[in-house]
Amino acid sequence: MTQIHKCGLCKKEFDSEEKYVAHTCPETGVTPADPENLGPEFAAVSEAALKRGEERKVAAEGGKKKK
Amino acid sequence: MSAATVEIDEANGAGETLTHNITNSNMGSADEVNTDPVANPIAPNTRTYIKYQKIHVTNIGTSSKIDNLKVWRTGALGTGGTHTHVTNARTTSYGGALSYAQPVRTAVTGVDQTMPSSVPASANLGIGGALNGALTAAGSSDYLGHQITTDASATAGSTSTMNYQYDETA
Repeated sequence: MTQIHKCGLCKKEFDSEEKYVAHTCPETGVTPADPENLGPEFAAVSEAALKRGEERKVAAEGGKKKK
Repeated sequence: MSAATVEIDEANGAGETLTHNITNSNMGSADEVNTDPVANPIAPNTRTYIKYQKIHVTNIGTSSKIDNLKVWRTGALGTGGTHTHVTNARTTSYGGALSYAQPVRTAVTGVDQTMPSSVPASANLGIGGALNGALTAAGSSDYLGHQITTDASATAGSTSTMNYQYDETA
């Protein structure tokens, strides 16, 4: 049975996940692969998480060097 | 450097329509995404339609891995009776990937664990049928199945929050 993939934002339907991920959603102006597709909050949270991860990595590397 | 892009998807219907990037997990007496709970309330002593949802990585960005999936609910189910929120999510004796079937309002095999009310100590939703599974590229988790049962004393309405958590490795 064919699975239908439906965009929850623009409601367009696709016959494959690849086509869904590749479409530019008119509601957001970007594709679902873009963090902006999930709204500015998700993008900001992602960015902050990456920053925290980098800081943790730097701190861990600093700790190793001290040894 | 960019973080992974992750959405929650839900499957509905006989032919499996997978709606991507859902905006809520309202549950009720209709098999539909973003259920309207006012129009489709749960009668006392019945079950909601089961929800089949999954965590979908649409783009892994520059990360190398997504794993350690945890799902739980925060907030009470409501007053006036004894209500249960059941799921296939579990930290031990995981039953493998839950197969999709047209959502029903009856009990579903394997969807019999109490939904955690706080963050589980370890993964409770699998990837590729295993709790230690991981995504290293775009892809999805196993289906999370969950359903609420009410008893005869149930009164109208409650609001709680579903939480979906993952680890992302740079």
